[in-house]
Amino acid sequence: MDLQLPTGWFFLLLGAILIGMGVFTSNMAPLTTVNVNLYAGLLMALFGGWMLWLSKRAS
Amino acid sequence: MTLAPVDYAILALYFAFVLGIGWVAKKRVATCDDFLTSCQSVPVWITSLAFIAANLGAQEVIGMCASGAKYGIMTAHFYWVGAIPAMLFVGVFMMPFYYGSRARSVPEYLKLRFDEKTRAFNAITFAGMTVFSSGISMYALGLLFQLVLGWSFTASVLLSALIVLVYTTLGGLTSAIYNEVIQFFLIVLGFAPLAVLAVYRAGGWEGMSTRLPPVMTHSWQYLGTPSANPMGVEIFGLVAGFAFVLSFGYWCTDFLVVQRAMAAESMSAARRTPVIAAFPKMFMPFVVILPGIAAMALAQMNVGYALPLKENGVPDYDQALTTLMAQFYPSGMLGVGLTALMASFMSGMAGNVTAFNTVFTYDIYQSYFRRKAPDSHYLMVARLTTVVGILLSIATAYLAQQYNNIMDLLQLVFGFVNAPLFATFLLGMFWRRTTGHGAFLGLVSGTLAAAITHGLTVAEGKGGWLGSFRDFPSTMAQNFWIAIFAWSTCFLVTVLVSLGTKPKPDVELQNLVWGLTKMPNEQGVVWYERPGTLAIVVVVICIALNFLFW
Repeated sequence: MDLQLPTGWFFLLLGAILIGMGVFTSNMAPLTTVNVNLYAGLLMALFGGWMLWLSKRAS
Repeated sequence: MTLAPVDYAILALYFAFVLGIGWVAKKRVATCDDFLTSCQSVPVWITSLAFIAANLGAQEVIGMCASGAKYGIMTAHFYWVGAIPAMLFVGVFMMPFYYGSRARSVPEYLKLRFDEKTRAFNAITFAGMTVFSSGISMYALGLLFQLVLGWSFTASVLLSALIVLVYTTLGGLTSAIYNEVIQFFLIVLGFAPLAVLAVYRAGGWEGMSTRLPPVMTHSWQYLGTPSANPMGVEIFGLVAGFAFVLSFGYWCTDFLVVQRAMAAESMSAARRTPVIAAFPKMFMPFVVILPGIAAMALAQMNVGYALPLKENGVPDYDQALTTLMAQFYPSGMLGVGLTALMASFMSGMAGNVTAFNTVFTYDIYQSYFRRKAPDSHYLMVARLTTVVGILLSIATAYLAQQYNNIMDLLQLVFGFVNAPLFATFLLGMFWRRTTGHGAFLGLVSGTLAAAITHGLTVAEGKGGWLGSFRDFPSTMAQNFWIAIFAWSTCFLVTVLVSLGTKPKPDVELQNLVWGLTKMPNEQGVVWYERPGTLAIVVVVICIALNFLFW
């Protein structure tokens, strides 16, 4: 089993959910003005994409 | 703290993926060895991450953040001093014996190297320890989720246990290891943003240093005397008791972590597993400890953050992580944070359960109950043992809920057993004259020495049941000294008894002992695939980190 594949999809999906939350909702945490969902979502989507790219390259 | 539907959706997504991996891994399970040892076929990057993830349980994540809030950056000693040197040692020096002996478990190595009674002692105590550790961790998670989210203790415990049960019973060790990798990434990506946000809000390292007492931001400077630091420890106790005895005793002999390296696809990969794992491990303090220190700085800033107090008015440090998440994570990331917490619990529990079923099936059932049965029988026993292990863990969690003191006692007894183990392995692997009688009597006397030291010393009202010859400022300092006495006694008794008993002939010690084991030839291997070279890189970075936070 190529673990990079499920890892990639998991973080890509997670990233997409968080980016959606960051863009379409105005949820903010009490102690920060940063759009945490958007930036963390981008980070996770990038990581997921990188994993998928590694998986594709290996296959 | 209230969760939104999206947070629950993230938790459900995670559960779906871990179960899916269990389902796919099931297709690879045809024999008992597939189920319990992965047939030494797992790629090195996976075994390396699983190596640290199995140790990254919920108690570790919550506990390290709590210790960060209580003791400051000195907590990083649990990584830089209490893990890295031992991880490098097991990879570079000990793995050739574990892997080269073709033993399927650490107790089996003891049987090959020494004799049956030494294996039985280790197998039985280890099996008991893993089940109870898993149960105590489960209890801690159930309690935390009850306190923070208002979830039912039973629901939290049973749901998480059920998920672990399904994926470990389906895919065995492969499933556990593969899931541990996703769990590791989730823990890092779930908590790293919290560390960045909390430290940034607290004014960065400079801002935190000005708001907190200096002892919170220096790792070595206040270790001259026990009274100078909140841990109540000094350099000798820390280095000899913790960094040497306890740390090496855990990382080099505990089958829970060693099993991950033994699942690697080659000897070279098995040796590199703990060494590669040391790279992320030495940076983990920035993910799990820094938020705790930032929490204490934020509490001084009047920004609306404060640690909840316990009934006796003392800050509840265990809530540092979850209260920070509530302040810095909106719905969405809050779900990721809680899922990461659940993942850390599951990785710890799966680690314990997969080690338990291997030791029980091979070292107890196959050795003492039914020696020659078809492979399908042992596969069935291994799967049943997984179920029984999880049921026993659940029972332990409820026992802990009812009688908290029993858990303190059990942890203490296990500490007594673990402390002298490293002396047995050190002598067994590097001194071919060591005998089975020496190893066994050394272990038993080391364990007794640990109990007697505890009985003759007192710390925070604990111990002293035989008298009070020494008062320690903290139970941590007491534990370090118990470990020193236990290790020294085990070492001495093993040497003396070995000198008076007949050793095994050299022909029976091939691939088990230094000098009779062919060490891997690394000529022509690129530097980043050489365990020794990688270990030197780790040492240099680790020393630099210690100087940076001196």
